[in-house]
Amino acid sequence: MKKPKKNKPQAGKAVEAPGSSSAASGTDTVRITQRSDGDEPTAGRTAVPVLMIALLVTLIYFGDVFVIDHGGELDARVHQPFRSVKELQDLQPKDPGEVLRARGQKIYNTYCVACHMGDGNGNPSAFIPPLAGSDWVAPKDPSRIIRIVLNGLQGPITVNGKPWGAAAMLPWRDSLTDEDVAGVLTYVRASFGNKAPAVNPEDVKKIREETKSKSGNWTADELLKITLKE
Amino acid sequence: MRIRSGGGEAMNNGPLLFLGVLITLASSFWGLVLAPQIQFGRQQPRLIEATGEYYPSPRPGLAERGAEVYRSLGCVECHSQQVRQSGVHFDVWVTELTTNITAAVPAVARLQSHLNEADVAKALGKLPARVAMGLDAADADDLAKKLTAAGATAKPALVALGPDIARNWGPRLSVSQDYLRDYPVQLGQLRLGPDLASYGTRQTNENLILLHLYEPTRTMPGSMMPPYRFLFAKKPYKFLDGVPTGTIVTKVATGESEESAGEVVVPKEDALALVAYLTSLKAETSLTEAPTPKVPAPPAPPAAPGQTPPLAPVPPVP
Repeated sequence: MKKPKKNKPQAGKAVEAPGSSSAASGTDTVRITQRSDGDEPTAGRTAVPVLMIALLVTLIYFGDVFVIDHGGELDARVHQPFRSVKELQDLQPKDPGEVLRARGQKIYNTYCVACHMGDGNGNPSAFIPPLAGSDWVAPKDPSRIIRIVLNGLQGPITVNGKPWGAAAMLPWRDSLTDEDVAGVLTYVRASFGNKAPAVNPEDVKKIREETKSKSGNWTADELLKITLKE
Repeated sequence: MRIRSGGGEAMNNGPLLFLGVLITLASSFWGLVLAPQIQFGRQQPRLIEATGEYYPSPRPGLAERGAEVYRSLGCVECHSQQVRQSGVHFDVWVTELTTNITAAVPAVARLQSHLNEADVAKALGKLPARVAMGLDAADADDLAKKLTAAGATAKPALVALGPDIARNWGPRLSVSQDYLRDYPVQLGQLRLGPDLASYGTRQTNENLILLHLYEPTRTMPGSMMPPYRFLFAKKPYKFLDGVPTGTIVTKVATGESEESAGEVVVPKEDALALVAYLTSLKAETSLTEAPTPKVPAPPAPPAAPGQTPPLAPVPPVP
């Protein structure tokens, strides 16, 4: 087999076409492939048209712009019609209590509603004091009610000047997480006509640590010894 | 420079061509396979703060079977499960008056210059009242703060826009998180019937869904849906048997003797599974990427047990 090298034009050198009479036509720009019987045709090189390059560059440019604009920085949370995580952040609820309240409502309706009832008025016939308008719920500092939810409460207690105490409240320390306790208290403090600020899960965590060794339920007297911050 | 081809004399630019084809296919693979994988491939059910639950949670067993029935019946040919949303804006609602209404009305009217005082007074007469609409997040926040300072507790409320949402097909756009428990994902691409992404919210009556499967035109006049009668079995019953629940009575037993027989149509297990699946379709949990709009609830009247609050007006979607 012949080596292709032999039949190929030398680079940078014009090759006379068969039958061509002029030798003066040989300049570096003309490329003619010498062909004769038995030779395989080979591809020469031609420059890509400038227009094609321009089209390609334009396509790549617009493709990139589109991906950068619509890709949402490859974040799984970004979907049309939103473009970025930042845009989504503007749409989130500003009030941190809102999320806690929604969670608290669920907790309340699961664990608390049986005794304190759906309207928060308690159940006087079963000796359950009300949460609606209660002076235990109202203070800005929630450290007493966090303790009640964590460890339960037993013994006589005065709510809005009325004596209660024949019923005991269960401890929820092991059933509810810090977020759950903060949520349910935030819900109670914002519902049934109550208007106390939200409860921070951090506060619940702190009090849970402080009262880790507490055994048994709280009594109202013990709780009243805790001074409330204003 | 000369490029040597590996023996293929016909194509002396082989490696160059190979490189070109490789780059073309690789960039296509990158765009169509790798980039979506990087973006969505690691999604997992996520803990939702507001509920303390994971979303999406697995379907109940019967509903999981129903998904297979849905798939086998080709429901996806005519029903999509994707709600599109064209955008969002904010309305501002006054939920409470902290001062009396005569003091709040001029303040609201001053901030909302296109409203006159009579309109404002009329709107504030029944709370919650929408005092502005079509604002962006920052403007709505700003207005709410000013109104609150003026003596009327105001809140911005998100409103989702788009034809699908106006058709009541869902409260928000469908996002990738909604489909994590589905395999295969039955998005659908034709809407001969309504979108089913949130069907379980719209239709909670299982008997009506069964009736719709048995005879679509009875529950939805003019429906194009074919009846799926093979999901049901006809059974005779006698007057004294009573009609089992979840059945469709085609011929009522008359008379009062044991001999007078009627006919009931009883759903087979596949029909019940399909209904369980359809009622489990609820893509409405509020997510970071798709916040669900919430119209402010009216303030609860303190110490008024047993009273249901009046329904809040639903804002029309423009």
